[in-house]
Amino acid sequence: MTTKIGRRQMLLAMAGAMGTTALGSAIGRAMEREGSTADKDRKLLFVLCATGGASIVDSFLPVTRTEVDDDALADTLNVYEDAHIITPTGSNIRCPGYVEPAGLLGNLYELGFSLDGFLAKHHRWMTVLTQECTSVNHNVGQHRAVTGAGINRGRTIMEAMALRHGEDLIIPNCNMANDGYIQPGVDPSLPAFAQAEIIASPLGFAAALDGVKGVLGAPDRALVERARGVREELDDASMFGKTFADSPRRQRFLTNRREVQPRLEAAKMMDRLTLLPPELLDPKYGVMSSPLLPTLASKFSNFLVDPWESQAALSVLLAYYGLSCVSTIGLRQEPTFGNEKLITTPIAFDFSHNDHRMAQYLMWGHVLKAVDALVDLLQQLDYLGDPALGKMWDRSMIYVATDFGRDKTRPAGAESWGTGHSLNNGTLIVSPLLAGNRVFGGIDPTTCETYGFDGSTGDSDPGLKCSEGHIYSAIAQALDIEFPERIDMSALLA
Amino acid sequence: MIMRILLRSLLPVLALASGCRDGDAGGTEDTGADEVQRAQRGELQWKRNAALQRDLMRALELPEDGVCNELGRGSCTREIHHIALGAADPLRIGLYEPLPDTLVSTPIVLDRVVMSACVNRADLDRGGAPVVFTELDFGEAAPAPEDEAFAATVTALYRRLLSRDPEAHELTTLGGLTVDDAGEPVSAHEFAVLACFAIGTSSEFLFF
Repeated sequence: MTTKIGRRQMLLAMAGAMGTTALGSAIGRAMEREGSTADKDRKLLFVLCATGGASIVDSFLPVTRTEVDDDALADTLNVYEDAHIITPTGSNIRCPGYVEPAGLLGNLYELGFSLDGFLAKHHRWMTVLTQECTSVNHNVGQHRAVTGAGINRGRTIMEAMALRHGEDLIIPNCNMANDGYIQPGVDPSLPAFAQAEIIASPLGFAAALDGVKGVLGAPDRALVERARGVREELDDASMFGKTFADSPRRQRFLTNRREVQPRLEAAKMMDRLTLLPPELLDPKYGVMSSPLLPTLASKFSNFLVDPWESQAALSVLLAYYGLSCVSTIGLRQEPTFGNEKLITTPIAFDFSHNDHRMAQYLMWGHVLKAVDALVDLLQQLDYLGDPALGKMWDRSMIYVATDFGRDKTRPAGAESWGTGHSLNNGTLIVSPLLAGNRVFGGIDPTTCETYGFDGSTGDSDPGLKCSEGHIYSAIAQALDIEFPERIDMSALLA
Repeated sequence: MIMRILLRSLLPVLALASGCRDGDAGGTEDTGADEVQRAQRGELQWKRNAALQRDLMRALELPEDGVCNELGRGSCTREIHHIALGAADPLRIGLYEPLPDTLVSTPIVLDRVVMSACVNRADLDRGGAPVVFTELDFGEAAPAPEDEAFAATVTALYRRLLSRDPEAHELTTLGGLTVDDAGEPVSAHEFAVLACFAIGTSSEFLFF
């Protein structure tokens, strides 16, 4: 409670000192909400980073050959045969059907998850937004996908989320992704608690939540606590401690050790977040698997070998146990093996350079398989295990971030081809907090280039382009994150 | 030649700066020989994962795989907790430069790594020719704070881990680790591990 008050006071003071009002008013409003609690009103954000350029034209905004109305032109565009496009019953969104593995490496892949199956199941929660980003450099594009190209003082949407909803949480912002998606924002005034905790090993992260448990031969915990007390005395009284009493780096370390570590250990989070199954945990360590592991394993069947799935599984635990309000996960560059074949391409979506259609279909399926599992789990689980707080899903948003789009053309008549990077693209968000079963913006069938929309009315307009800032603003508005430069995206709200 | 000219030209400035500091009431004051001057900028370097591992190997004379293995699944410092301990990871997650500051989990992970290393050293010393805890009788209780074995053990740990001798007040404080909360003596093995842990997880060991 002390920490909570301290943080709020600090944030209010900081907002006032900088002459900014949005942050201050947002926090002020949160404090004024009568009868509400932080837990009750907290939102949850899951950022799924589709590394390498996930093309909206190859998922939920495809173009058919007849829409081009010119066979010769259609032969040179990334269009689908009409019969290949599926619109499930009740869906206003459509997608390509099964793509037969083809091309030079076609036999290496195992297609495990269909886009149309996902669409049929989840279309009511799906919002497709067109956009045009501002860089075709991977790292730059990735960073801008989560900073809205700097629209909110350079804060990532995850940092903004932690600031808005995570002030009472122990590690509000956990980031398991990679490359530009793990780079911090550039706002030097961001409080330390909102900065990302980088997690490179989801399967081993639970051990980082307890300083003693599972360490073979460690003395009794009471004795360890005694040693910690002695250490604190030594640290403050030593010549080193006195000399560097004001070191920010040392202070940050000691604050986490003295204030956060005891909270984590008291909450016994190591056993709750351990993703290793009992058969991989030697009893001599005295560590238990998470009680939710069977539930998670039923949805993430490959989580022990697929980092994407283990990241997604950990993100559920971090939110469910109230440690975090935003988790970011990312596709790794190395391919993942299924039973006998590859279930992801090397370098993720960027394998589109070699084989566009195959890479897009395979990787979209891999991304959506995790989204499907997340939605199912969030719909199943009560937030913090408390039925009074409702299902986690009711407060959740899944943002599928990507670097940029892909080229829209192909060699005439080619069935298998490679594409370069393109600024033009679109974004998928899955959430009950946005107007679902909707496409905002549109696509020109004669170019396969998307065009934008008016965020306040929702009207598509071929003369408009929506940027990373529009996507950032839409997410922020749905998650009650205010900032002065936020673009009005009211038409997208549920 | 150029360097000599540069130094000569800077001498007046250095003298002036030095004089300003002495006379600045808001800066460090002459508080007597026993007082410690607080560093004005407080810039410290973080001993990152590889250096931490090597320092523990050197100080406790442990092999590389004898420092810390996380639940038997991999090196704490190189594989499982390397980011929290300040490593870069360009190949796996595209983190080309290590993080500038410690994470929430850093002190916890440091506890695990040092505890594991200390236990491993104490176990080795108990089972064979002792290397670090040479003055302890592992079949007995911890030595009393006034015993020579106590001072020798603590001094050895300070020299090995912090490269200095303990101050008198530090010896006194560490005397608290010879007994448990009820005042009962702990075993020599427990004392060895606890003293090693308390010194090895100090901010003085992690930063420089």
